[in-house]
Amino acid sequence: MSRVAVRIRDFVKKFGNVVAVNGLNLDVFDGEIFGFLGPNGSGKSTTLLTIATVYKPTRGDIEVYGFSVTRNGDAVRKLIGIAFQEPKALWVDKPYELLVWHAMVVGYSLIDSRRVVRDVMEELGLWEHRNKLFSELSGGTRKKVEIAKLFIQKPKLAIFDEPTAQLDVTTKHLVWSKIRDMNREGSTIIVATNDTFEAERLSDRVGIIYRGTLKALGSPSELKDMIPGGDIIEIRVEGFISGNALRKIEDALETKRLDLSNGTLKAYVNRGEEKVALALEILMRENVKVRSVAVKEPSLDEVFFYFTGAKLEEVRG
Amino acid sequence: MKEDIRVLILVMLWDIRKLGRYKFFLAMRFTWFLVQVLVFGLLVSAMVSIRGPGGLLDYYKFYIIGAYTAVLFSISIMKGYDIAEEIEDGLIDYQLSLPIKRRVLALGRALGGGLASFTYSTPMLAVTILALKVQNPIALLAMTLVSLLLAVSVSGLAVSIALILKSGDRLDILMGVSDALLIRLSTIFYPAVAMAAVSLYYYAAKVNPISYAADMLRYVAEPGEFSGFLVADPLIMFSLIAGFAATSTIASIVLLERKIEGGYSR
Ligand SMILES: Nc1ncnc2c1ncn2[C@@H]1O[C@H](COP(=O)(O)OP(=O)(O)OP(=O)(O)O)[C@@H](O)[C@H]1O
Ligand SMILES: [Mg+2]
Repeated sequence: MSRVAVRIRDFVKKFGNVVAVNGLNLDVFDGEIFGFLGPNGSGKSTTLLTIATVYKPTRGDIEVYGFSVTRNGDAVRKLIGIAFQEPKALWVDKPYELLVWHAMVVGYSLIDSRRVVRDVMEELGLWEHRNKLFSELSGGTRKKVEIAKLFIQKPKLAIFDEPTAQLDVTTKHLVWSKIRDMNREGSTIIVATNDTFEAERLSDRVGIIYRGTLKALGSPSELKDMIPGGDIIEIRVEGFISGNALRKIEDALETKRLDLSNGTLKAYVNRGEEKVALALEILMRENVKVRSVAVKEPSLDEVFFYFTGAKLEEVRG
Repeated sequence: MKEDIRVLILVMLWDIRKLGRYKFFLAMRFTWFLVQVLVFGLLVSAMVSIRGPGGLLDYYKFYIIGAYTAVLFSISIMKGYDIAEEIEDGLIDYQLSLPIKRRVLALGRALGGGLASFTYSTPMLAVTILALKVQNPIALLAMTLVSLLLAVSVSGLAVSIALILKSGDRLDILMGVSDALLIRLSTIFYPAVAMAAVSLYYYAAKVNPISYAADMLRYVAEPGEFSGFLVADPLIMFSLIAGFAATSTIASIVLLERKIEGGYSR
């Protein structure tokens, strides 16, 4: 059994009346890259910021390598580092100055700070921007400065909150490979993202969070297996589908699940190829105009939709 | 311990590093101060004549030190806005996540804020010293020390208030009110004896730490000059100022250790 790096138990976080996280239970293991996947507002950042001792749990507790964030914050802060979703700097900051300050706070001497900051800045293509004001930097460049903090710091537990959200493709791949390097050199990694591609490429395990609770947990391939029915029939239609038609499809196709959102019908079934015809027949009889049809193997996107998307019941009302 | 001090200095540098930021603001303050010293001070002292137990007060000198104290107070209380801005921009979140003990963070921000505020005020302090023709090095040192103590106390207080309120708007109101009240209800512009007629004024000024800071500066600048016009004995004044500095710093430490979490409350 692997050692637990982060143990989250019955974690609840409220902001006034807003329940941001609602009873989260989760273990992140030492040495893994953990993908924290969830739609906007699902509670990813709130959880990460609580791990980083920035927020206090409303209920429950989080332990980082056995140290409680509520009772032993100092010990936790020595082990962790976080690259925030929104880059943190004063408008009048200059990247080089800020990063050297950061490096020294996390324990480097002045001389070592200058060296390591220069190395990391050069690698990320930031060196030419080192003396510009933060207010003059592009969004992606600001984000790179934020991520650079962790590449400099190399904490035992590195927390990245949507690290590549604003980065170009080349830089994305560079950042991913640097995150993997860090992991190989001994850092446990948590990456929050709403990009399934990123979660799949990077993570050993993925946790899907939705409305503040954990919906699914496993390796990307385990998660795909969790979708009932091996296939997804995806039909784009024009106009309205009656509840009656939907029920007929459910029965005829023996769907494990049926979702309808934005004019796209998704049926989770076994032996999808054989059942497409049946579905189309029903729709035509109900005078629903079909625009396109596809039978798919589930991707992590499907897993994401399955656990977080609009449910059929909600659409039907 | 050695590590704590190293980090403390780094935290203090956070505020010092921002010094270059308010050049325009500083220039305005400085100009206004010069106007006070060269124009208002002379005008007002021609009109005001205050007699105390020790004879007639040199109101010009009294006024200049009061004006300097007021400027130092205002600059220091601006630290609250700095912090409010940092809360909104998430910089406090960033600092809370760093491997810094909460009490080192609080102490560093209070001391750094105080030191930065004092540094801003040095051009004004220089003018004050020139106008009063203070030459005794011990007096100069003591003026610096008292100014630093005031700057640290007020910055520490402003930092704490900003952290509690977590909102620039609420801070605006509170700071505006306290700025006006604390300056008015103190011996910054009138000596305690002259306020005795209005008891509200008098007693407010008597318990106002700003009075003690202003009068202590007067005392150390020219020990004999203002005797009979000060709120209290020098020793009592000094104890109170030091106590105020300690209390406000400890308050910000306790606050940050126990209560503070990140986020910006709208
Ligand atoms: N400081 C705060 N004050 C008030 N409400 C907050 C605060 N931070 C988060 N929330 C609320 O908590 C919920 C969860 O937000 P959180 O930022 O954790 O989501 P997220 O999963 O990181 O989303 P995103 O993908 O958009 O970054 C949201 O409803 C949000 O509005
Ligand atoms: Mg987020």
